[in-house]
Amino acid sequence: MVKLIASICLLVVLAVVNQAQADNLQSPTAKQSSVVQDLKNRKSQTQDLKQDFLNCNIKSNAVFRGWPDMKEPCIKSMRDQIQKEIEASTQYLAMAAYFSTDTVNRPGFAEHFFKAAREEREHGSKLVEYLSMRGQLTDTVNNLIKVPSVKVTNWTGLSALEDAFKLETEVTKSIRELIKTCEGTSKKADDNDYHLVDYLTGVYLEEQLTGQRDLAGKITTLEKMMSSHGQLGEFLFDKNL
Amino acid sequence: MKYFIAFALIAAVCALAQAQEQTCQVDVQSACGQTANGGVSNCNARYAAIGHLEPKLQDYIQLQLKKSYEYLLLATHFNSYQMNRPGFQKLYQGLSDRSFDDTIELIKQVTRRGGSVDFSKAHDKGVAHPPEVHLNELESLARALDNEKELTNGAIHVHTSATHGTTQNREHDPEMAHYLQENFLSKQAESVRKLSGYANDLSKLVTVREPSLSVYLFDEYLQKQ
Repeated sequence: MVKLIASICLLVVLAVVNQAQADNLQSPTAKQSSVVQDLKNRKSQTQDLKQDFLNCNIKSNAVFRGWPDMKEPCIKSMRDQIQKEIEASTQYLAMAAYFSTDTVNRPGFAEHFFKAAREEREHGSKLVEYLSMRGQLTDTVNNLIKVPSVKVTNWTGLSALEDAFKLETEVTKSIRELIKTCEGTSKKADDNDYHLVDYLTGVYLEEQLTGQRDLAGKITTLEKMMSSHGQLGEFLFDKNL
Repeated sequence: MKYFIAFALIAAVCALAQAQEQTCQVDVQSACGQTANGGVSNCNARYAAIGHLEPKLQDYIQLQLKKSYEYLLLATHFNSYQMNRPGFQKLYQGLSDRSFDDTIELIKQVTRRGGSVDFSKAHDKGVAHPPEVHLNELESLARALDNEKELTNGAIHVHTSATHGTTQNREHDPEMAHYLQENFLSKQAESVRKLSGYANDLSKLVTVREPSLSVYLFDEYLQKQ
């Protein structure tokens, strides 16, 4: 008799525990917590119960022999180059913000530098896409880009263009170094990354060189206008930029 | 009594001078024809609550810029051959471009109101580095939804300061409040709603034992959006 009562009690307790777990599953988790946290909670709760759980991770067992085939120094230089493009973009953003202020009021320069900031970001993200195309960036994406703080001064139109020219020259130099790195050192050219080298030479150096020529032209024109007419020169140059 | 009147007069004159000094015209009048002039620093576009909104907007601009790059990395993660989800890539690339455009628009708005934006200081508020981007499909949608809410709250924070002056500064700023409503709050509501819908759809789709096909089809759906 005592045995029977004990077993009934045990059953009741088990049923109650079961019910509590089911309730726990149904009740929405605290509304304040973030969605990520919410999902993680749900996953861990449901995995214990082995029913109706979210199957979030999909693994692939695909194997590729000898691919991806980019060389380590070249990959590292590419990653550095991407960061440099982002830094250039942020530098141009800072210049554009400076020329947008009411007391400086050079909308032509501001637009020019906003455009330059977009272009540099575009350059950076095209290099990122290239690395993805070559099978890179599978597990180390998160530290690829860091938003930098940049140099800010009281630019004049001329000094800003000169700074921009310096910046472009540095970027060009760094692309040349990148090309050298990706050409490799082997005499038989086993480690020469022909395709990337061609892409960098044909597309990136081309843009850099035409960009530098454009800036150089602007600098000489502005310099001539300023030397004869000072502030009027910068005013007129800005309105026609 | 005499002293009091004299004092009151001096105080009144001082207050008047103080009030006058704040204007652009006074600056110009005192600067014109003078060799050593104090400049025309009061000739600016600052009015209403720009003084206390400026630092908040700077923070918001930095937040947008950082989120823009976080989304770019998230898009890159899904563009890798191992993830290979063009639909997710497109979604996050779009959000990245939007945040970058918003950064530029906000710079234009701050400077329209006589403010400036300082990019020379490191800004670490509210954004972890490195950002969390190695996520699976559903987690990434959850992360993006949280991000969008964070960006919305950033706009709301500035909007609140613009409509309810703080104790130090009771000025209201209807222009800034209107700008944020018009250009950010309704747009953010759209994108929060969209991502919430995606997250709920996908979480229903992955309750099956083998979710690969569900996620593939969902990615295909995202590509067409």
